[in-house]
Amino acid sequence: MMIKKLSLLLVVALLFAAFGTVWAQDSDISGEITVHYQVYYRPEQHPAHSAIAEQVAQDYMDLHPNATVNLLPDIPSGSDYITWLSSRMAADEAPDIVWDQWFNRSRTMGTWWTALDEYFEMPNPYIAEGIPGHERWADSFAPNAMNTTRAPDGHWYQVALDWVETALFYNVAMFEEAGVEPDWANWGEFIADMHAIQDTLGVEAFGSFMPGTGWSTWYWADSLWLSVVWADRHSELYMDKYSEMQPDLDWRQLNAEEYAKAIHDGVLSADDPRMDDYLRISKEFVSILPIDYIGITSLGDVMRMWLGEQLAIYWGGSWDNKEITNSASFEWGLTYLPPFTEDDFEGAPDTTYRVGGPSSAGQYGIPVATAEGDNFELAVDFLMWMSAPQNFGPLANEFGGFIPMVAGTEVGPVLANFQSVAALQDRLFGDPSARLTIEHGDNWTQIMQGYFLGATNEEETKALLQEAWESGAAALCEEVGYDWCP
Amino acid sequence: MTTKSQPKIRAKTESGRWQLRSGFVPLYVPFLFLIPALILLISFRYIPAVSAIFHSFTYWNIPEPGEFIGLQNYQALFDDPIFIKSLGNILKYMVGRTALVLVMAFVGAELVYNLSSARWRNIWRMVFTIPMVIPITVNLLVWQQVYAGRQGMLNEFLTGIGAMARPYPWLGRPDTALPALIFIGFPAVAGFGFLIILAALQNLSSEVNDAALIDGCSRLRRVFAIDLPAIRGPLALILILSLNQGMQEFAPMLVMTQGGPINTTMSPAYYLYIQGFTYGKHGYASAIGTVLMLMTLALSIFILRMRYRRAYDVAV
Repeated sequence: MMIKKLSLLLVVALLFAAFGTVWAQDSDISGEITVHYQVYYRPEQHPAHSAIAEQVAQDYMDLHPNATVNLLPDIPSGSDYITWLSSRMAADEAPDIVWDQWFNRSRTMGTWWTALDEYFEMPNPYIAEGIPGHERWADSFAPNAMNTTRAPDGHWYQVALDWVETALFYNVAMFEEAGVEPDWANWGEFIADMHAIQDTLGVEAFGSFMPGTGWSTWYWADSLWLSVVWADRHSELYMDKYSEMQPDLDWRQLNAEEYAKAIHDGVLSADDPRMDDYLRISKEFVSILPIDYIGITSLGDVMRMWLGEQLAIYWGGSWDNKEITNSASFEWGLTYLPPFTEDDFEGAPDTTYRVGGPSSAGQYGIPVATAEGDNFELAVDFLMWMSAPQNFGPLANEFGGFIPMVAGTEVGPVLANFQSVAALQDRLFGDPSARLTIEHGDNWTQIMQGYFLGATNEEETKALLQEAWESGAAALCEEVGYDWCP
Repeated sequence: MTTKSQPKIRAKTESGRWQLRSGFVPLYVPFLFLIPALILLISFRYIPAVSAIFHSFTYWNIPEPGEFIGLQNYQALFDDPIFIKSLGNILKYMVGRTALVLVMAFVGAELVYNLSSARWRNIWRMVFTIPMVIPITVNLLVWQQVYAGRQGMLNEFLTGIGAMARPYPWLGRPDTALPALIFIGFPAVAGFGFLIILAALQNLSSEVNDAALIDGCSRLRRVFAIDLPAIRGPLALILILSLNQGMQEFAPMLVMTQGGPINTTMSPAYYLYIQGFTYGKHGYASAIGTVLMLMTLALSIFILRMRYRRAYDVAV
């Protein structure tokens, strides 16, 4: 009898201990945080997917009754986000989990953001067993997204939960009228067809733009032309320490350190004959753009031109899919840029590359101020929760503009239109502003504008580009202080 | 005759209102009412200005405190070809824009002033005033469409009347981008300057004008011989405001050209913004701001001194 009683007590004690631990774990998470979900939480404009975001937060609070998660509605589109964020960072008033573009984060790094490296090595308890990420959080993120979002100092200051793809949206009737097929054997054929559209229909052929400073779709073009001309030397541009980290990726986008090192070592040089092809392709490209491509300042304007049938092609992205489907009053199709073959230049890779990347809404980091405060544990835990496939997948698919990249998510219909582009390899070079510094990107833009407008010839342009490379690499060295820097 | 001094403290007046007289309402009361305005002024004008001057001597990486680096930011600034170019750009912009605004506002005001019908004068005054309520960004976006490429209004008009064979990218070429920004809002009649000049003209003594007309002075001669000298004060005010605004111009560059092409529309204020918020060089941006502030101050003092050399001017 005594043994029975003791056994019963033991069972009760064990049960209490077990449940008590679980309860204790849950109740340990406490505090209050504010989360900026970017476009995934715009309750007034997009109530459907915003409701999912609210549910994700509510489920978390149900699981952790001592935690409060406030969702911050996204600031209106068209607002100056970087100014908004800078002001809050200066006052230590930024949200505890906040969106920013990865290349902006690469500029501010540890002064604004908390490195998440050690947390990426931890298990994510909210990811089910058997799904990558359960044992090691980093495994739930796509390797190419991880490669791209690694900051120049080697740390990760954000998670990359989704991705964008780009493609050429074309006007079917215009193509038919000009006798152009949306499928080209090489670059030369593509350029000839674009000129045929301009000459036959008297409309602009290709929608892209290049303002004086800042991001533009010309950035995409520039990164592609550099990628195709330097493709044959890609392995010389990579640094062993990064290749060893990702042995499965024998082709990947260069990171800032590799880029700077290649310039420092003279591998990447504007004197190289490859840059002649780069300049020629670049000039051929701008010849098919709207005449005021330098005067256009937003991608929205280009899309409106295409929707107004002033353009045959609009170079946009997966985020445009919904709006174009709803707004286009004509039949449209999707295609992509042609491969670059030996007919275009010697040593061409016989392919082109995708312009896609983690420049989407699911890019979240934790400010330093939060890490120094009382709610850091809650912020990391909620970041793990929101990045779990069962929480992020439905949100991304309901929004329909970005492709969820978290392992275990089901990809929605948005990718279907972009499947052929997504099958291509990533670019070797990123956008100009993401290569070394943002200032270097603007400098590069202005030099190329000078070349396109005839202010400088090829030789002068190459000299200026070399100068820009060297000063950009030096600026990065000064900021980060790599061990190989002079 | 003896004068009876007024009592220091008085009760209500006959109308029943309290009189605000020394000794009745304590002297510090008006100052109390000024305190909120003073706090806002100090918080949002003086402290940022002093902070900018202080941080211009630092390497300032928000949110970390600035690290003192002496005059390095200023040295770098005057070696920076983009900043130097932006100064040249803004000088051209400022002169061009001020001349346009001043001349057109004066012409517009004179035309309205000379209308004999008071009804039509009021209607035209309203017509020229209403556009002032349109937000600047909306105005800029409209003008972006005016200067747009193939489908731009200006190109359609010029090719339509046969003045040009093909459309021209006004904002996309270095030779036309800055003039295009100067001409935004053309004919630039509608604005603050117009109202000030019109008010000044309406305040002129009608006897002088009548006498001039009786003496055989033509209307055009009257404009130059009487009106212009008489309203030099208000003109100086518009000049100061317009030059100050031009010196700090930012919005057209941000919205319409982003400093391009090849920095031909880069202004110091837009460069400050890029350095501070895009590149994160807040110390350097503060140095630009300080230089800009000193230049604006020097320009204002210069214009005011020029004006007060002839003290018989009509007061501003």
